Amino acid sequence: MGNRFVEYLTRFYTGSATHAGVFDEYNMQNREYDGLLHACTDVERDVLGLFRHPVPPTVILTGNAGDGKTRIAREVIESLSKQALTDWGDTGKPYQLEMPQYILRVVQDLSDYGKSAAEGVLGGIGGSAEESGKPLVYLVAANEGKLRDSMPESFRFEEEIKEQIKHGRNLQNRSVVAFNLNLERTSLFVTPMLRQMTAPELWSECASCHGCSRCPIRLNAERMANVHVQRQMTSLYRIVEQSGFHITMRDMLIHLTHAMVGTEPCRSVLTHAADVDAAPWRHVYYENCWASEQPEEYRRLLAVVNRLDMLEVGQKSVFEIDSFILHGGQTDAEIAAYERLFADQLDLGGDMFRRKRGSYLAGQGKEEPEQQHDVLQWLPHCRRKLFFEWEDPRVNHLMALQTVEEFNEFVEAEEDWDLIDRALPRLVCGLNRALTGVYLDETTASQNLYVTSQYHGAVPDVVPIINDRIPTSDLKLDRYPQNNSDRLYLKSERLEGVGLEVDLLLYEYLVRLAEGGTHNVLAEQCELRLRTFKDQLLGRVGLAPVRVDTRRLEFFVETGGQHRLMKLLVHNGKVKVQ
Amino acid sequence: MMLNGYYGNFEAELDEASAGRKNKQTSITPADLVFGHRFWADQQTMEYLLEFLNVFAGFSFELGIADARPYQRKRRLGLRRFVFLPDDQNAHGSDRRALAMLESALRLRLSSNAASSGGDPVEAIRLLVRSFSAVVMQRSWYAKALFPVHESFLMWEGYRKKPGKNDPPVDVGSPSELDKGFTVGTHNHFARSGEMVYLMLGAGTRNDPARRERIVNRLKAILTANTALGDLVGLIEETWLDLLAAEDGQKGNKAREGDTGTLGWLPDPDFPAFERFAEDVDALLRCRLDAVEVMQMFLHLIGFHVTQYLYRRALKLTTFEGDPRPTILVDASEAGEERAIRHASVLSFKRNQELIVKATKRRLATIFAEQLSRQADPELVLTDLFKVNFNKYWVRAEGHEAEWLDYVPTLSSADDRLVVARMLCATWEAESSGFDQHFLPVHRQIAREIGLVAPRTGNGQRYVLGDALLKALVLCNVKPGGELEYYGFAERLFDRYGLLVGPDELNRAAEWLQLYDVNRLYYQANSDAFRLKLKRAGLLTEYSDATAMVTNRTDPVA
Repeated sequence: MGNRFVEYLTRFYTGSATHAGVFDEYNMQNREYDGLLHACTDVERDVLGLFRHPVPPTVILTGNAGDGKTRIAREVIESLSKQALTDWGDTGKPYQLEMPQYILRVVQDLSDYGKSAAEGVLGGIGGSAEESGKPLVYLVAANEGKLRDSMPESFRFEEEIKEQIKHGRNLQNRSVVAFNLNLERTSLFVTPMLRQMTAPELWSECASCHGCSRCPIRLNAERMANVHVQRQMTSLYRIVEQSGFHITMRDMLIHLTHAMVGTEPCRSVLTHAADVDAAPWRHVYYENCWASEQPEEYRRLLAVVNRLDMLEVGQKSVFEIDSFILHGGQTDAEIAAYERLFADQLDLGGDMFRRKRGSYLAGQGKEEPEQQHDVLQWLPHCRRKLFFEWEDPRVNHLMALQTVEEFNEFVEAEEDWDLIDRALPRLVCGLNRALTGVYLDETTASQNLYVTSQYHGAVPDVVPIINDRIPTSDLKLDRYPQNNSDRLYLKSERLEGVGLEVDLLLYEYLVRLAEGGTHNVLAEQCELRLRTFKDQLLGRVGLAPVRVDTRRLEFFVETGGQHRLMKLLVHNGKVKVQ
Repeated sequence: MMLNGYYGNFEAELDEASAGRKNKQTSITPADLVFGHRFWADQQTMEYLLEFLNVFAGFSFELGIADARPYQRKRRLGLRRFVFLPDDQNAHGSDRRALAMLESALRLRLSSNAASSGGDPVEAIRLLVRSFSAVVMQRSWYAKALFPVHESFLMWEGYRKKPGKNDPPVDVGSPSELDKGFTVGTHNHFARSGEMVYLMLGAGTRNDPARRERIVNRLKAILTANTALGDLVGLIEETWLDLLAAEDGQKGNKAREGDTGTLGWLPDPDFPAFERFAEDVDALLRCRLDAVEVMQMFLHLIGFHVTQYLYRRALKLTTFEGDPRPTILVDASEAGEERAIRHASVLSFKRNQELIVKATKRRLATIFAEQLSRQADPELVLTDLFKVNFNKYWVRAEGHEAEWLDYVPTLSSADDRLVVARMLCATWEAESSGFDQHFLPVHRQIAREIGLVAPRTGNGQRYVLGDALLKALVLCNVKPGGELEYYGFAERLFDRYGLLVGPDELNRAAEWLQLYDVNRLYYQANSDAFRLKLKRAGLLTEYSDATAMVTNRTDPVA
């Protein structure tokens, strides 16, 4: 006998036959736990709010597959028609609903429409029905790419829609409101979702199961109910989002489910749990979270896992953590924590870890002097356990990114002064070094943002010529997007329309550059964005009246191994060196 | 000589060539007649750009001149010495002396705040200007060139005669004496291909004066935008000119031999390829980019359109279609991946090259046939056109006519066809080694330099698309600030240039390729790889439902 809820959750396993169940459109029949795994987002609330108007505006929902566009569309129809929707009708035709004052046409997925049909849909916005003359209101769910591609020539809502997609919805607009679900932070729903998934009533039937005490799924449900574990999981999601990657609702569901139940249904878990060689401790949530035991083709489908990989949690040794794992705590509080965390339990192989550690400390268990002790193989496992279960700030050092905490401070800080005084000069310094490609000294590099152009030609020396400079004091660092910000946005009034989204990765990259790092593992991810930013900056030069004096020539030239700023004034056949 | 339909300075040059065979500069080759005078394999794409801009500036920024009017060539001897001489171990003492004179005069024009710290400003200025070195290689100082970020960086290819016994001693020469032996008349590196670019753009805008004006204005604006940099570099040259002027009491350049040039010629000015070239240049120049970037893009565009022209002209001469589309199968896959597409791409390169040879022969035969109808004597026709040792090759060609008949057009008289075939045989034997050495490699040479062909060395050349070329194509085909759906973009690359990437365009490609047995799945993989390449170059935004938009992120020029 297995837990029915576990059976339900296995539909999220991307390798299972019932996987289609995670797609709302295929999930019309089995809704037993539907409400349970549903988070009512701000978007959903706002959309439903708009449809309470006598004549609502056209609503466009854009986002990635899995963001919940279809789900919201269904909610709207069901709330207006006051009955459950069982059939979307023909693919490629809008679902039509006649309301007293308007006609609603719901386009469940614009990608089901050919180019001209899709253009027809968007072109119809703001029109009225032929027969009744009632205004037509559309609810269009579309991926952003398809939406952009389907905008007809001289589409009158083009600018408005693009603006809302970029900077967030404008609920005041009477004609069209565009929701970009890409801007939403799924991490906000991790904790509520975990709370629902670990609700005691869902797991009560486990109590009667004979394998209860050996079952990793059951263990996971218990541990993931812990507030601190939920907080750590949320912070992982937030870091991924802050690094510029959007996580869809569906990806979150798939991942959290995987963390909890792994890939096997109750029955086979129990069969294996009796077998020590099958190592049931490898199926605990903090291992499932990275799916490290899974084959590559399966891991690829787990979008969240792919992003979490970059954090390398537990892969590298952190002295204070490893020392704690092997030698126990120093202070009373640490000792108490150790006793709780490392007591014999299922995720430590019963007493297996304790015995191995004992022999290690006693200097036994090694046949050859060079041979690594068995217990060391447990370190990554234990580090991950501690990452989730030890309430100590040092566990954050287990992540490959160093600036997580300060970046968080800035993104969430209430006060602006700190952001500007501390973050900005370092960012600007890193930016200058990255954009000029030369190692400018810190003082020069922190005072202004230099817009330079340089030619990489037939000689190795590169001389960046300064086309414009923006004093650091004229730069602004905002939080972005305005609602639920998880990134920073660098801009200046002098650079109208040009700005740089600074997410956690870019922040880390620039800070490392500013602190003197040269070799940088993040280079590949960040350089392209910086190049684009530089192109845009250069494009702006000359647009705005920023160049005060066209006779002035400033450049960085290398003398005596250092890059020096050289200023020349070329006038009337003379050159003045300043 | 009566040959019609040429654009540029055809008659005069041809007559000159016929009259004085001794003048090597104006000798005529089959490729000159068929593709224009002239494309030259040793000329680098950078020198196409430089020569073009020099010609354009030398015509006072006028585009569309196609007659015998002369254009001015810039000597810039002071600037050249200042930038390139210090690195040249073999430079002659007289030039070193000239440089010393120039530098001390330059120092008099420099003033500096007492407080300014460390570093010789003259050296700093040299480093700055030298960082714009565009053509260096193993060349002597006078043959190097600067990247054209400003009009005052433009200089014609220079040549320095080695000082002879009768020249004055190094230590007493006046500025003008030190300049003796320097000329700008040679065509070693500026081998006239830049003139072809000038003529191509002129021809491509003949029916669109507004477009011509836009191109001219934008180029002018770009070449004068960096005022301070231009003034600084101008001042270095000016300092030398002032020394020269002080010597003979008058300022300015005295006209010297070789300081002007006249254009070559281009066949078939109505060929649609030229209009397309002009459209692309126009589109590129509408994007707001800084001078370095826009010139880099322009450079790639020039190289690309010259190869387009060569392929299209070759196709037109063999298929007789008005505006034929070449087949350029682009291999977008990374090293080590599936090779089916790579092989097909190698083949498409080879076929395009063969086409150029075939077209040249065909066209020559046609010219011979036309000329023969006016001028019955094959010897006169041949020697009028080429430097053929008629007696030698004409005799040798006897009996080989049949091998060449394929290239000869249908004529009323079968005997005439044999004569033409024999003329072709004789000409080809006389001219083919020059053709193989100096013309045939042109398309490969340029295509490698702009990233249309890889590998850069060795055999097995195939078509690829390098990042810079790709960016240039995006800027020309997507309007500034705009976007184009990926498949639409790929389709446009095929329709417009014959660049084939994915399976969708295959059924409109050349027949041989359709019959060539490559699984469509490989084309699909190739298309996916191409898309990834665009994405990595920052030119494409991908959305989760497989829609991807190719984006031109520049602002439009106001």
